[in-house]
Amino acid sequence: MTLALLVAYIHLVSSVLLVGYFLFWLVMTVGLERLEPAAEVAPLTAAMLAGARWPPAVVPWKLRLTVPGLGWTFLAVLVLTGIGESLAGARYPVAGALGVKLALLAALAAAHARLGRRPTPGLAKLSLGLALGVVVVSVLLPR
Amino acid sequence: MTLYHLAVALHVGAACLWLGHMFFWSLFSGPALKKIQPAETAGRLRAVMLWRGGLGWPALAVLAVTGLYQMRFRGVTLGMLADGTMLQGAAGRILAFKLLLVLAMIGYQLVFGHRPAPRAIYFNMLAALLVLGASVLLVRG
Repeated sequence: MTLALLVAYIHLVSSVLLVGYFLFWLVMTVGLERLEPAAEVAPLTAAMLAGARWPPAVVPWKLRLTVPGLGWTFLAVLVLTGIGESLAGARYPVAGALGVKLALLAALAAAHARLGRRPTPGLAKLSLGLALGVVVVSVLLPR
Repeated sequence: MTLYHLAVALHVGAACLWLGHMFFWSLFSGPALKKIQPAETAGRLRAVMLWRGGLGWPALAVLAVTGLYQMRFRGVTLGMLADGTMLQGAAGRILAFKLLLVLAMIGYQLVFGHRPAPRAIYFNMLAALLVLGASVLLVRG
């Protein structure tokens, strides 16, 4: 496997993880909103944002990633491998499909910045839609 | 966007949703939520996390239809798979390997579905990682 193929593979796997991540937010926010009593939603959301850390063992607590931290990590890997793919030889006109992809990615990062602080079902739906939009636009990039 | 592009977009989108759900739930959110204190809060959150499942079969249906369409578009028929004609080229062998893994994953889905499978899930995830690798080789290799 060449380096270019390895970078493409990591790019694909991080895309899969990122979509899974935003699907998680959608399931959680909609699920929390259905909870009774409604007063439980805010403390449970706060517990998830502050208390859920990955990896759950081995690494010291302070170095573990929060749930939003996982999302930023996937996004960073996606961007870095995307740049790597471009440097490896893929040349796209920025005004075309790549421009749309980058615009969607910027919107996704902005939505994620809000989602990581105050998660709502609407924001989670928007983020998942944007993530899937990035995937769809990627199909249009020349191979 | 052509019909072929639409099929590829649906194929990749369905794969991302299905495999992303499996990977993120099993490797990241499940273990992370389990460690929240107090344990009662962790239990409540894990119950919320699992309230919606059943993504596997719809995703597989989309993957099968769009995958078969893409094979046909590239001139590959199921007959070529059955009589071994496809195995003569490297791309054909990679595709056959990918389809074999997909069959194994369908088997997993049939046997376990949405039920917990602490050991088998790791084989299923390994198969999924290999399917993604085979897909990269088919498109970029």
